[in-house]
Amino acid sequence: MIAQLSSREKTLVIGVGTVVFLFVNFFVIDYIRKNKTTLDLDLSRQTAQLRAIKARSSEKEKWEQRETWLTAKQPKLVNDDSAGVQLLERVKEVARKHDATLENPSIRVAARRPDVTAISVDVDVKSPWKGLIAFLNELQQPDQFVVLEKTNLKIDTADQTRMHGKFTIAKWYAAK
Amino acid sequence: MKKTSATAALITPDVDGWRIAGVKYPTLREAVAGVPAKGKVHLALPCQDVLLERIKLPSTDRAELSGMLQLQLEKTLPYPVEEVSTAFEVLGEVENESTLLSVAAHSGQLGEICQPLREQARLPEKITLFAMHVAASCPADEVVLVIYPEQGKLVTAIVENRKLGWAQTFPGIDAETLAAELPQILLGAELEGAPTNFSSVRLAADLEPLAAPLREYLELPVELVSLDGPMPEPAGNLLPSAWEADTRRQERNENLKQQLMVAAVVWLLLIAGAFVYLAWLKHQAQKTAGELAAVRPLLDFINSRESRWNTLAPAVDPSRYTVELLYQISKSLPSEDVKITEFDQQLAQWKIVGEAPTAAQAIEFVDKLKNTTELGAWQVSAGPPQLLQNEHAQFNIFGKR
Repeated sequence: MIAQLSSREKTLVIGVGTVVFLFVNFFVIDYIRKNKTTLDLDLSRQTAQLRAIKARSSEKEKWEQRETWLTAKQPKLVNDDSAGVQLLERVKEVARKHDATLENPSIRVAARRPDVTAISVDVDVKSPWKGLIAFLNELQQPDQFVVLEKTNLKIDTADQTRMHGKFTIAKWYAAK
Repeated sequence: MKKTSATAALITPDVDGWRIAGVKYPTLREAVAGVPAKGKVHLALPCQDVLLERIKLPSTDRAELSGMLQLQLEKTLPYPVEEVSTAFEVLGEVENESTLLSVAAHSGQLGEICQPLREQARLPEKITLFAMHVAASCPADEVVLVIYPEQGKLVTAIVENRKLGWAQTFPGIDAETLAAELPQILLGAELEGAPTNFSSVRLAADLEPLAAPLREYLELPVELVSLDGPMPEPAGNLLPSAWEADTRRQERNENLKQQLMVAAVVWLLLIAGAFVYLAWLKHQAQKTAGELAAVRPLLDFINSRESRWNTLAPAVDPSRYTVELLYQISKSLPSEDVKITEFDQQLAQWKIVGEAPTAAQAIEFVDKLKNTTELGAWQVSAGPPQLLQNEHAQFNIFGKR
């Protein structure tokens, strides 16, 4: 059919054909390029996530053991009032053991949080440095679930050989 | 003489129509349709479509002979020599004289004959005279009389040493016509200088009934030959020069078309490959997403356990205990002269207030705290030390998780 066209018509047909071809190419290549970029990004992101998850999956046993330990060891709160008293008695006992003087003890209201129920007491402790350290060390043991939620330590103004600490000591019970 | 090119189909005149390698076709249009699409076409013309002239010219140089023949044809042909395609064959040379047979075909007539070929864009690359093919298949160093049919006519050809020396056609292919015409034909040939002392006679196998009368008249053995087989290629080409240009242009167009086709196929393959690659990428992404979905519950399980542990860490992780923090801080003191005057701590932050003999020691203390591995979970910061009246430097250091 093209053989029947004049030279000018042939030039026109070739020109229009070239423009159409380039347009089609532009859209097709642009479509391919955009899709490739998106898919490449998706794939690399997902692969990285997968690699990270697989790396973390090796920790599964560790976290299972910790969960088991927490479930077994964390105390369950039976009575808010008696728990506060018990905690204060424990603090007093440890203080006595290490020649620390307790002042201004008070039991706070139980704080119920999503993960724990905190039974807290506020106390002032006066003690030499070594006694204070021993007091703190014995008070906080992993299976005791005791947390010093607030601590303020200064040299006692009345006796500079002693430390004056103000503590909010809490016991974290399992959340109900 | 060359054999017909293996890639070109030689179309020759048949008893009634045309023939390609023994296959008969009633018309040239049907004959060319029988040629494979990529095959080239050679057309061998029947004698009735050309003008044959036996001439003696005073030269033996082929170029000179060509020029002389043009002049001769200008005189003898009934149309301008520019409208004629010519070829010639030198039959013999004696001193400065050559005997040759010229073949002339009028371009207009060739155009009419080849119109079916042109319509199918299958212009022949070579046009020859079929009688010359027949002559080329005869024995060497002999004068042979060849009689064969061409499109309803009988051709009487005299072959000298494998070259066509003379030929004439007459209508009718029966024995009576041949018996009536042959004496006059041979007389005419003799008058034009063609030899008539034949060493043998060749008769087309299609004309077997004519063998006996011929043998009787010429008193020579008559050999029946088949003209269906491959034929040697004679010299010369009657293709008009303008047609050659057309043929070349057609070939160029054909080549260009093929190259464009190849380019289009390559382009389509590339595009198809790109889409296949995209599909593969999508499949990979979906597969990875599936794997992610499968392991996500495990991740959620680990994350929930870790989160619970981290929440309870101040109670169960000794490295978070106040006593451990105090130990790490006191271990980082650069000297006994650096004193901590106040330590304040909450769950996620702490603050140290103290005095150092010099600002440098205060800064050194901060640096040590920052570089203590055990305090790595804390983000330690401090403002510039404040110089006191006693020239000591007071510092405030903060730690945050």
